[in-house]
Amino acid sequence: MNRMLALAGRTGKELLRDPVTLVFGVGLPLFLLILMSVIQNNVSVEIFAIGQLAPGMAAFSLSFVSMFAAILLAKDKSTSFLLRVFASPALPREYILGYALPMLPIGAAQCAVCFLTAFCFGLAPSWNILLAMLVLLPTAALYIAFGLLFGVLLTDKQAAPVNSILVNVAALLGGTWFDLTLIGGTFEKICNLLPFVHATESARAALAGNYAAILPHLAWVFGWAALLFVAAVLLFKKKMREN
Amino acid sequence: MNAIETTGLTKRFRGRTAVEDLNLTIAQGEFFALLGQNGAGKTTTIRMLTCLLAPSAGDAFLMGESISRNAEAAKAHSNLSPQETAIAQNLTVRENLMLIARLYGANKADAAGRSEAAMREFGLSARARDRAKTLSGGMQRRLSIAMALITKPNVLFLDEPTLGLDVRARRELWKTISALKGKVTVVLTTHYLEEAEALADRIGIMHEGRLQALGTAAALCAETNTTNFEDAFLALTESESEKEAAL
Repeated sequence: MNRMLALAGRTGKELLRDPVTLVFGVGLPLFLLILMSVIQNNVSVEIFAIGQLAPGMAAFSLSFVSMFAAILLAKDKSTSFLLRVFASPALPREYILGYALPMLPIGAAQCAVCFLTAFCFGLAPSWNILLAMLVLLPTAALYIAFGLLFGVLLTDKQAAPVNSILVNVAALLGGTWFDLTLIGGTFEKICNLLPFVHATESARAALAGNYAAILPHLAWVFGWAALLFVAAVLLFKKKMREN
Repeated sequence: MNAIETTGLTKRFRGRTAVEDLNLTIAQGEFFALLGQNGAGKTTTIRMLTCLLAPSAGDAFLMGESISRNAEAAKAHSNLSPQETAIAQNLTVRENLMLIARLYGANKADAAGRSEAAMREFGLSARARDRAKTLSGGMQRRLSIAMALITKPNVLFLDEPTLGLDVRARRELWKTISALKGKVTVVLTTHYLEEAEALADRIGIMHEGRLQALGTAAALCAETNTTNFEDAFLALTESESEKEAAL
């Protein structure tokens, strides 16, 4: 436990002291939220309703958690810091949790900033916002798993560009900006097989108080998160043996 | 009890043998240098001894603990300063030291005390609050070694600690490393022959995965009928094709 907490503390400090975390993790989603809300306020038709946009943006902002995790892990590989951790008596579960756990509060803070900003654009305060944040925790776990997986597989130079692709895929296939049913067909079917749209819709359902709709979406997110976590842990252990 | 004992230690990678049948004993407090050309098997040996790689055959014992059967106990006896600086860039000097102490089981108070002592010993106290990435290359290496020593290991592995440093920084680090003599068992890998000659009690020379020669620098010179250690090293690491060509 002491070893896991020590590693978790280190992960948190590394992230919070890196300006990239602030710029991309909070700044970019916030900028997009403000931009789209301003557009909405200046057009007569409803394109970006704040009740849809705010939870979508909160879910999208979590995709950056993957980037933080992947870059940190990949850097630790290239500088041999990970080698030092592997050579210590710390157990695999301790260092995997040491990397993963600090990402959760960072993700929660990102969501909170998104919802707080949305108040300025007409989002009504309600307890459902807290529920939406709670519902987004498995989404944070999903992106942490993506990050660990990429961090193990990629070099520090590859981690950022590959994660940029993930961030864009999450935004486009997650229905953050537009309703996927407008396109429909095979595109929509593929989107529904992936976790991104379910992450967005689970948060939207929670915010709207449509409680019955939360669980089916959440099940997809849980399933994908579990699958990716298992893959990340197995690859992590393989990497350890290869060292 | 010996600090390190290897029996038939072997590592194969997909048909290639990186380390073959290594039988070696290193006494407690000894400063041992492991030399060899690139690909000779030095780093693979270090990685097996630090439990980072499982041997394909044979075993090794660190303070009597098997690296194959009781890796966790063996790990607790040793620490490593890898080839790269291997420090947490955004943590301060003090935080880096405390992190490693806690990874090896020290509580916060103990880790803080050890960090202060380590910073004093390695001349890092003035930079205690500075982030590691702001240190010079030489100071980063010093921090890396301090991080390896903060856990009070019985065996310290230094994998090319002076690689990439300028002459002055290398000389300063030599002083730091030579101060460890007798206090802890040190296994040093290096490409700088004069480093090994000046610091090590005994030198092991690896070639193509095998321990080619073992002894003091003077004994290795005598064995090869050479007048300096560089010539002795070259003679001992000459490949079969080079020998044939020389004939």
